[in-house]
Amino acid sequence: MKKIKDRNYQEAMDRIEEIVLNLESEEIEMDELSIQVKEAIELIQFCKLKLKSTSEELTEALKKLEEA
Amino acid sequence: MKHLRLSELNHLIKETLDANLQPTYWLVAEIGEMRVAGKGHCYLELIEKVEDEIISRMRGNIWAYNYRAISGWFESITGQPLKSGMEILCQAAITYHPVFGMSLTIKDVDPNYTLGERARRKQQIIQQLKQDGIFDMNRELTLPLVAQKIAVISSSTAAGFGDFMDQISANQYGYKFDISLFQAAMQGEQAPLQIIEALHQIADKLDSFDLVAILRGGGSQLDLDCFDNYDLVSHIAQFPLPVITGIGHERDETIADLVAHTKVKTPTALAEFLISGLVDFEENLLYQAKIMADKVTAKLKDENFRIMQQANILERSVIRRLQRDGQSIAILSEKLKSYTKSYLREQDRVQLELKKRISRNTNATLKARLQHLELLAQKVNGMDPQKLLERGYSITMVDGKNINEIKNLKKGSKLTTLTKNRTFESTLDLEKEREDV
Repeated sequence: MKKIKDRNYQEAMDRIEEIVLNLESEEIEMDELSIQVKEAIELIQFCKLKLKSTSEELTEALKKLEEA
Repeated sequence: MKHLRLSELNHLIKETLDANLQPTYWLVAEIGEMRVAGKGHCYLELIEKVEDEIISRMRGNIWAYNYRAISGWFESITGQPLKSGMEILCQAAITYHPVFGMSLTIKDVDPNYTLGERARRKQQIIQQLKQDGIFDMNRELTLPLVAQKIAVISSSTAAGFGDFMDQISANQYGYKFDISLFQAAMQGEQAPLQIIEALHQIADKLDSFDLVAILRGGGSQLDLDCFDNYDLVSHIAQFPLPVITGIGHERDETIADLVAHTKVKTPTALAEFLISGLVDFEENLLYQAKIMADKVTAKLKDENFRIMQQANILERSVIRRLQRDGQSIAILSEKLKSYTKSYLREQDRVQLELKKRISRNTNATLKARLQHLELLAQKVNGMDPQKLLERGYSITMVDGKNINEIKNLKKGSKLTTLTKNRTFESTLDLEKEREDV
């Protein structure tokens, strides 16, 4: 499993979707379930953080655009 | 032979002319030379050429009171004054003077003819440019996105150049332009050559410039013929940078205007054109920036929504999954319970059965054993020697030992014999093997 911090946003989103799909399709073993759900939650937090920081960065950058 | 005096001949000529010629003719001719004298009279020479060779020539004049009206009208229609080299249609009367000879008195000039003639010549040149395949070349160039390095061809003394510089340096947006002036005469015979020379100078430093502006002072309607010159316009058409003309005339287009990438009417308009190019660029930049900002905001919103959605789906799937597994665990444990129960019941039953069987078997066995024992007891009872003795049998022993176990009995061995209730002591006389056993 790739480490979360090494993933980029899109990879993280893809992985979340994959996990959700796994859950839905019952392909996942019960033992794996909590591991994958934990992973998905971490990924979601990661995506949220990333989105938040991106949003802040862009808002800052756009502010500069308006000041220019 | 009859003689005529010169004056008589001249008189005769005059009479003949007067009698045979109409008072005026509409005449097509080229103006050869032309000058306006101090009193305002115009003296000119009309010619007709075939391939540059003059095949006809006559002096003419336009009297001052006519000339003022004719030249004003002519210039207002054609945009240029009467001048040498121009083909005109004029109404002329033939005047014969005994002293000054024959001349034409021009009473009227039709400017529309000259206009048409000039248009025809221009059309020829345009046709030629199209045949050469260069007419559209400059117009097909792309105007640079931001044009700030401008090569200006003009006369530094021309009012138009001053107007242009004022306008461009005082622009309200504060844009900076880098203007380089290349001097050239903007009218007269030298103009085409000098403008071409200026183009050559610019071509030597092509990388230093974004475009070329040809500027000529506005105001009075001056001679525009040089901007119809074939050599000049073919140079403009083929120039590798976009050429913009601001030649300063309102009336009609010169060929230079037609082949130039862009034409504007005046130098001031040319400055505005350059400034508005930068305004457009900046506005577009800001517009794009706004679009970008909007898109960024929308994208962030979308992504936020997407994450929340995924989180929700995840939560629901986990709950569903857990519920489902919880249910199956419950079902399993229920099944397990009933299994266990029936298993235990079965075990009970089996044990009971076994017990029964065991007790059953035990009784039978015991009975059998008892019988067997009784049988044995009977057998054992039957074996009691006392019984045999009572029935008349006796037991003989030697030295207290079973006589059957002792071999080689000797004569005189002491025998002890037991009967039912007596003991006999005897001595052996004879020993023989029984023959009947």
